[in-house]
Amino acid sequence: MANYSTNEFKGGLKIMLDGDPHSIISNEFVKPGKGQAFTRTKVRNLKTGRVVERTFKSNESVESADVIDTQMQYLYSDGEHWHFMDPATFEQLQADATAMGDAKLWLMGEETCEVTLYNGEPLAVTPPNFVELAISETDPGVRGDTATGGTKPAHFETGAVVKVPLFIEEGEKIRIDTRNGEYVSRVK
Amino acid sequence: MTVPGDSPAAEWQPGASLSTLEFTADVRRRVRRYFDATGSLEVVTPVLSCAGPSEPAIEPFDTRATAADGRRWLQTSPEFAMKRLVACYGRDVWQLAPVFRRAEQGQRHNREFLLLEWYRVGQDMDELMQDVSALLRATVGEHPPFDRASVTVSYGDCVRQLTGQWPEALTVESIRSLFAARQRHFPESIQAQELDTALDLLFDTFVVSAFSADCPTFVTGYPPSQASLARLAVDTHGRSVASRFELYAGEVELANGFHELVDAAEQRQRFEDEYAERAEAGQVLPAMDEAFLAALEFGLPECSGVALGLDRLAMVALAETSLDAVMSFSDERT
Repeated sequence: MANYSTNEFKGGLKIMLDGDPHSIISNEFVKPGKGQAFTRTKVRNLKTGRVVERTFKSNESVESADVIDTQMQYLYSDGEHWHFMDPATFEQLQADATAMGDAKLWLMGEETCEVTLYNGEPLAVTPPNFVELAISETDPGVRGDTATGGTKPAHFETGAVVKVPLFIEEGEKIRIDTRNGEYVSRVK
Repeated sequence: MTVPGDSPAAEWQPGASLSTLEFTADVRRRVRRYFDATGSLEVVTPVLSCAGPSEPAIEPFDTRATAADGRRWLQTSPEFAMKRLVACYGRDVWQLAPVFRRAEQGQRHNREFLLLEWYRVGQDMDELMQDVSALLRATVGEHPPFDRASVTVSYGDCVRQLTGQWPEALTVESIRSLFAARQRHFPESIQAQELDTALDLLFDTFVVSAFSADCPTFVTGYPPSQASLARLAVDTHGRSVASRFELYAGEVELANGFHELVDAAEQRQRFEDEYAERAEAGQVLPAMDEAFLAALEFGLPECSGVALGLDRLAMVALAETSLDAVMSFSDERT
């Protein structure tokens, strides 16, 4: 496995720390004129999502993490695993609930997702920024109420719950921003 | 991964705006006026030298000259040549020198930068600090934080306030525990004998980061192990300290000054210790500057000297956060 020296550090670089893959968020070169140089970084643990500070002596080297981001198509879930396909090679992979995280709330099938692979295994799944899902259950719509700004919970087959405006009906398809889980618009 | 000789996409435009370039030109004009008014001689010394720095924390560029040219290094500081002039003529001298230091790259570091270096004959460290303050007023005095009087703190007091102990009483392990107690990361790779490295990180992480952004801060009384080219003195607590100061604006280091060591034998000993440290770490070993040592043996008058990073001074005065914004072409663009 390749090593990176601190002078190769940059945002997005994937490195191994304490046995876990991490992604560098930011790095800063620190050096008093007459003293030792350091590289101070913020890194995200790609397994837990936790962000921590790590400081290195300059010229220390760190093992690179075998982490790559790929675009894959979501196929289906068997309840335990979520299955994805590489659209170029048709190779299939399965991600577990931990790797899926919140992504599992937004996927119905055929969405193209970013699948982060660590040693060839799915480590994290990022859904498309916007998805369109049909509401499986919500209180009856309040006709004509487009102005009061009130909301009600809408439930989806995937298990997601999204606050929607009062005029939205059960069975309607809506557009959702997966980054904050918020309603965007109706889909006609 | 950068391949040697690989050229990044051409970025032809400068990092600094025209008004910034006008500002830096004005600062250099004012610097010249200040030294003219205070009786200092502007000098030029060679950028290429067969001798190089001894300090382990500074890495010079090797010019890969042919055998006929002799091995030459780009200067990391003009200090040795300037002190030879002071030894020979006994005059105050100053210069604006481009200096080059390998592997120093970041928002506040550029491998080539402009150092304003000057020496005052007969001045001690306190007088030189007043001189630095006067130069700041004359060049960037309208710009915060240089519009306020500076404060002076002692390295030892700062460390004692933070840890309850003088720096010389600390160990790498006690510093490691302090980082852990404050939930800050301390590199596992720092070994027990690397106390100065641990102190540097301690000082930067907890002391420098708390310096006021509203006025310049002078730090005095560095540990003797970090004396570099400064003489040693005894402070009011009877502790041995280096007669050396650093100037900060907020957490940005701007200048480093010494009450110069004039003892040739002690200087040679420090060089030898530092060269041994370099050799041990597998660093390049430029020739020791024998001409400088000869000048010290001839006799350097009592003097103080300081080096101030002019690019950083402009960066702070213009409230910029990166050198790229105040330089025509920083490392990113060359």
